[in-house]
Amino acid sequence: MAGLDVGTSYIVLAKEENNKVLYKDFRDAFYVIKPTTPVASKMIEKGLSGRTFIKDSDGSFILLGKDAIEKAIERNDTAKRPMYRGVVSAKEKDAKRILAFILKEVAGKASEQNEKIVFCVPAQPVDQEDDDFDVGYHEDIIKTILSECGYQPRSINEAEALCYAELVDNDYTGIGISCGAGMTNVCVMLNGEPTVVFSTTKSGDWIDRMSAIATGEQDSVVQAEKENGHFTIGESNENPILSAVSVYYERLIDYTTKNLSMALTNHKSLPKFKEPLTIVIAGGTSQAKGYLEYFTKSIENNGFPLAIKEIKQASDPLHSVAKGCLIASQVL
Amino acid sequence: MIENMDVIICINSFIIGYLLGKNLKIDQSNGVYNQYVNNNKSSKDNTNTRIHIDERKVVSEIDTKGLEKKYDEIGEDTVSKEDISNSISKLKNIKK
Repeated sequence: MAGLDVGTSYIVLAKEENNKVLYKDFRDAFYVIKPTTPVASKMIEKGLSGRTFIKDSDGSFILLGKDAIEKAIERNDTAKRPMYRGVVSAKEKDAKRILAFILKEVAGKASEQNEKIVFCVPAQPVDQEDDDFDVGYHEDIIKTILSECGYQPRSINEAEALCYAELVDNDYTGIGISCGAGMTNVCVMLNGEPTVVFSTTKSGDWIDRMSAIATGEQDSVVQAEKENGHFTIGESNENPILSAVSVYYERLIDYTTKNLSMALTNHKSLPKFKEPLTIVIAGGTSQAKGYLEYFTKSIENNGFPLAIKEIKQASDPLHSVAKGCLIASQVL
Repeated sequence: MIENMDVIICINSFIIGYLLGKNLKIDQSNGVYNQYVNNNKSSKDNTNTRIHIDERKVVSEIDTKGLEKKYDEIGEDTVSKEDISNSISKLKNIKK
């Protein structure tokens, strides 16, 4: 059995072996280089030696993962993503093909025919309604790809998976917030049952985009600076990119907590909780210094309708969704 | 005498005209009302028998055969010593 976090920025596979959990992480990015002459093709191929890349039938080279981002930065360009805001990108022509290739490589062949695999999908966003966001289609694509690998795939909500991974000590009651690159997913859980799930379409990528516009840099450059982590949310920074990143982080957290409060206030499906709730936060975007402190302050200021016991970060923020999927694969 | 007759004819003509007009108005409004009810009924009938087409996008074949792999290993592997058996058994019990 396996769990698979199909994220906008990372794809993470989780498998259990000898009472240990094995994770395989892969950066969900690609960068295409099209040689103009046969000589150039040979030169490029030689130059890419040691990097993770594939050669397409039209002669172009497609760098994958971290190497794609590094190459894009080298060329003052931005790497492409097979996914956009939590689902297969409708903007990229090659998105489905590249995503299928990456997923087949990361998940590998099933160890036995119809091995169970649980993967995560985002919830319907509360702040976007258009044809580009089609969770059903995204789910069907992932199922098709995983079935070809011999798996028996099943999907669950991303934040629901986070709750399975992190709320064991709270009788699976509380709130899970997964702050990924493309989206923020929320699940309110009562005794292992998801009662309210929703998402917002602004998260880490939005910070990159807005900071890139503000500073005139490429998104990939901003992303790389941001991930180096030399900044604290709410504190000024000498580096103009990180200064912009810090400001946009504050705005994102404010936006997320306002949406959280608004979505849960007077929600018909919200149970009446007897005790204050634990909120658990995970995902790459939540790893910035000062995130938890600023989030806690912001949720207090934005009229959150439920009593809170504690707000904590997941023990392993990058792997908790995949771990939750793995747990679900053995229960559901 | 003739003047009295004229007055009577005028009053009678007015009453007849008034009654005719009133009846015609009722007929017309009844017609509109009936039409409205009928329209409403027919639209209700339509909703009862509305047929939906499945507009979900079809996943066509995703061909990755033309992509030639040029590396040995993909991704980063990590091993976590965490034991998830407690989480699994607790979730199983709670979901019963």
